[in-house]
Amino acid sequence: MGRTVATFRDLIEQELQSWKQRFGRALRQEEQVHLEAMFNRVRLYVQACTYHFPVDAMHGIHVAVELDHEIRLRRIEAALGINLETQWMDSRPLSVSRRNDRVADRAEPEAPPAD
Amino acid sequence: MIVWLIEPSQRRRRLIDGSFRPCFYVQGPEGQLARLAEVLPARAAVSCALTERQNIWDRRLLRVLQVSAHHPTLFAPLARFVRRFDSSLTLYDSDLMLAPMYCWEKNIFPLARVEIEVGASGAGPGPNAVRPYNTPPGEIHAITCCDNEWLTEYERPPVRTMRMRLEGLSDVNPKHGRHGAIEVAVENDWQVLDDSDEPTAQVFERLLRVHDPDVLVTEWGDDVLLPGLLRQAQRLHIRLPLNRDALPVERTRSRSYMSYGRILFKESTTTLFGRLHIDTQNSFAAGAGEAETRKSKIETREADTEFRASNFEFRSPAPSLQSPAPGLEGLWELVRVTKLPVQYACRTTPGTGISYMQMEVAWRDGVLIPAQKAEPEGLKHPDELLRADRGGLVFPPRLGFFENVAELDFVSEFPSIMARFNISPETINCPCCPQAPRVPELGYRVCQRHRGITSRVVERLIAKRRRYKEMMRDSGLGVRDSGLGVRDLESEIRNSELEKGGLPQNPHLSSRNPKPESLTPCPETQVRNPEPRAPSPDARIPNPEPRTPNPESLTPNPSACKQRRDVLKWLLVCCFGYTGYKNARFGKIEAHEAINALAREKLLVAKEAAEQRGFRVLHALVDSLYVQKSGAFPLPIDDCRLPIETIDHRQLSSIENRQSKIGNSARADYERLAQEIEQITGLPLALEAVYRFAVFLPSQQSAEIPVPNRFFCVSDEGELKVRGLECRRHDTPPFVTRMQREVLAILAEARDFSTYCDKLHEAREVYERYQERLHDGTVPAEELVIRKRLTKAPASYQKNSSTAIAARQLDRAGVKLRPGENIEFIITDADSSLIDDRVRAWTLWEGWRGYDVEAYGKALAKAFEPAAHFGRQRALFASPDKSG
Repeated sequence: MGRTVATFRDLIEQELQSWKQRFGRALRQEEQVHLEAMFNRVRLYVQACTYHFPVDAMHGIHVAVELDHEIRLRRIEAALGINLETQWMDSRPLSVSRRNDRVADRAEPEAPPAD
Repeated sequence: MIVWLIEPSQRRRRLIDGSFRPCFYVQGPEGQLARLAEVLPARAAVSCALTERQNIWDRRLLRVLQVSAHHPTLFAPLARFVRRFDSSLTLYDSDLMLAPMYCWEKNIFPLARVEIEVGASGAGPGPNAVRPYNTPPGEIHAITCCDNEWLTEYERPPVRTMRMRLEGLSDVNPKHGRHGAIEVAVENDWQVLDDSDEPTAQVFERLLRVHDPDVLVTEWGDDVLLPGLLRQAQRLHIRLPLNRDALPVERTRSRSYMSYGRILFKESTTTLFGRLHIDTQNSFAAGAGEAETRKSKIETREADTEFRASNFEFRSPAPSLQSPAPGLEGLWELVRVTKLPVQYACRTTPGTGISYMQMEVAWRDGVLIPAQKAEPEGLKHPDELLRADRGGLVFPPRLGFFENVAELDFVSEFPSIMARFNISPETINCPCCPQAPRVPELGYRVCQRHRGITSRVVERLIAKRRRYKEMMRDSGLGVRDSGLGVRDLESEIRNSELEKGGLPQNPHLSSRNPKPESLTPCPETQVRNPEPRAPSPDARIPNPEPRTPNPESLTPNPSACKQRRDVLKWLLVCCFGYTGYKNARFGKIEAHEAINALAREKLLVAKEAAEQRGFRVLHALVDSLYVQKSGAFPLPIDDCRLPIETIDHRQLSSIENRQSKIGNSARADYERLAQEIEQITGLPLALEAVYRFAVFLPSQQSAEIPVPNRFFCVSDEGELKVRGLECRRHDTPPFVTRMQREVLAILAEARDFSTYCDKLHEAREVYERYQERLHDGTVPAEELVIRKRLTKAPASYQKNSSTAIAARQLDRAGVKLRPGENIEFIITDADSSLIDDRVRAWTLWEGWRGYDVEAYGKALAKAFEPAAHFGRQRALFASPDKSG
């Protein structure tokens, strides 16, 4: 227990380190924090991962992350008093934010000043 | 075999039993056995005979050569000779200790009441006996036990005790430079022995002669005091009668060893003949005392569980009339049930004790006890290994402050599983039951025809422990471990007695009688004990009816009950752990895995049952559940993800009004839930406590992440339960520990979140007072001592950690430090550019060095943080503007 086979807590840490190495390196600094936070939140469901114990730890981590998103989404809905599900059932297209357009259509950035 | 006895007249007798002929068994080709049977009697006084004994794993009868040594001293050399004679021969029972074997054969145990027929003739006391024990000569003709090790009310040995220690901080190793005179006490009358008038060894020799103690209880006696006194006596040509036999004092060497990734240190030992020497600092393996409790560590196979050697603590203010040696109740209990010699039992792990208990059962069954473990782990597919190699389930707690929380505990869960489901190394995947029911998740079979050795051992321990628990409850003493340390057990008892509340009683618990149960319902008659093959014709169960001169004096007081109960607990914990221990003779990893699988299953069943009945599971930890009744407090200040700001202060006041009404019904609901889970799981479950509130704290690294063992709770009776906070750690200075305990004690007076926040102001005043004292410089240096374990030799440290600096200082001062030892130091100037000035080893510290106010101030702040973590958000409740 924890000697022959690593515990799931250890596996989460191992996977985090492994993903941080390359995947994390290519993220912006402000995004890197979220990567770590996302892996850390898997610990909230570690007992389920331990009980299921998938051969590939990432399977368990994926499900835990998705479950966490689901739970938090529902909480946000509850806090805002909305139900996104019913909106999605609506046949009308979702309104598209203008901000997106602005991003899409924004002018080319100025070229960085030459050194 | 030499047996020391105390007669009813208080005379000490040294007798010899010449009838003891220990034997071992040899298995191999018949030709080789026949040759051995010819060779051995020609070389030594032995008897050889071919016989049949049972193999533990497949229950086959094996033809073996029984070799009986005519004298116990021949036993070990004979076994060595056979091993050298032919290394292909397999030896059984060959490395057992002689004293327990003698006890098994004679049906006695250490400290038992016995009746003895003594013959005046025979070998007599032998040349080694010293006056006055060499007269009259005597040889034991017959020895009969009038006692039973499984009794809970028994006569304690009427021993004369002498205590010895050094002046000063008892936890600090004198070898690290701690100086002080020796203090000796007989009947609590302490006297200081210094060399001013006459040499210490000379005074001690006189005290030994005058008082002639049976038990010598020392602090650091093994490695420092007794060897030092012996050296001085030798220099002065004084004969120091430490032994009652005229044999030299037996000493073993100290050693460092690795266990579960940690390096541990075991002091050398000094054991006596005819007298018992107990070193409270060297009780059990790996001593690592907590700052304020003298306790040792044992290695258990699972988590590094702490064993409080305070079971053997010997600091009771006055000897009780009921118990001649109140601090040694745990030790007496341990040697009674394990039958290990006292001096060995107190220096070894409970695992050895449980192994010998298993071996006794095997020995009485006529089962061969392998000299070394011969059962390797079975081959497994990687998938199977992943499935099997898992421990108990731990649900991370919901973070926050919760009111009206109940703790439901499976009572001795793992041992109960072993007893109830017949899990024992030889019953897992046995060859005799191919159709036996399977262990969930793993599919292992469990024997339905034979009762396992381990199961038989643990069921007796569980029953005895339960009887002690009932006795404690009857006497009104709480049975919980508060987690606040056990330095003052008496005060704990006093508090519990004052509260008068006692623990909630589960009416079903007392009448419970655990019986073996198969994994699926099956007639109990299918599980039966194998026919015992008594090794000696007169082997019999000791007489359960002892002669009891005064039954009232036999009843243990609550403190004794607690010590005995704790010892039994650690035996049970180790019993489970040893099933997975690679060197355990009766270890089998599959049994370990099966127990864990069943524990996971039962915890999940319990969780589901609680949730189905409308309870919310806040936390679950292998064998315990923390549940909250839904509706009792509908908006708990729960979880960092739901910030406290979201709770409306108006809602809070309405909740507070409803609480008192809900509180009463909640306990009944919790009790009903416990009973229902118990029925469903088939394992004993107790409502351990209903807590007014429980505070589950996040990890120190991240405020979002819960950790299983960082919380505190206050029961309805106001009793605190603390886990994982600074006051539980070994390396916290006593000053910080005391502050945190005081703060928690104040918070324990709170009834709900509102009063908790009020009490927090009071607690903060205490905290600030401590900070002031720190800044005033009035804190005694002893209060600031930090204790750490060395993980390597001083020269091997690469970085300049506090431990490394202090270790190097001691090393330079000529102290020989070994990995695993504890050292003590004071932080003098943590940020100093001169590395050596940052900390100072305690024994080298001088007043002018002072202490680092800032560093200790930070430690105080860190220790106060758990109390204030959720409470600081009270301001949000008080002001609607902020919460809005």
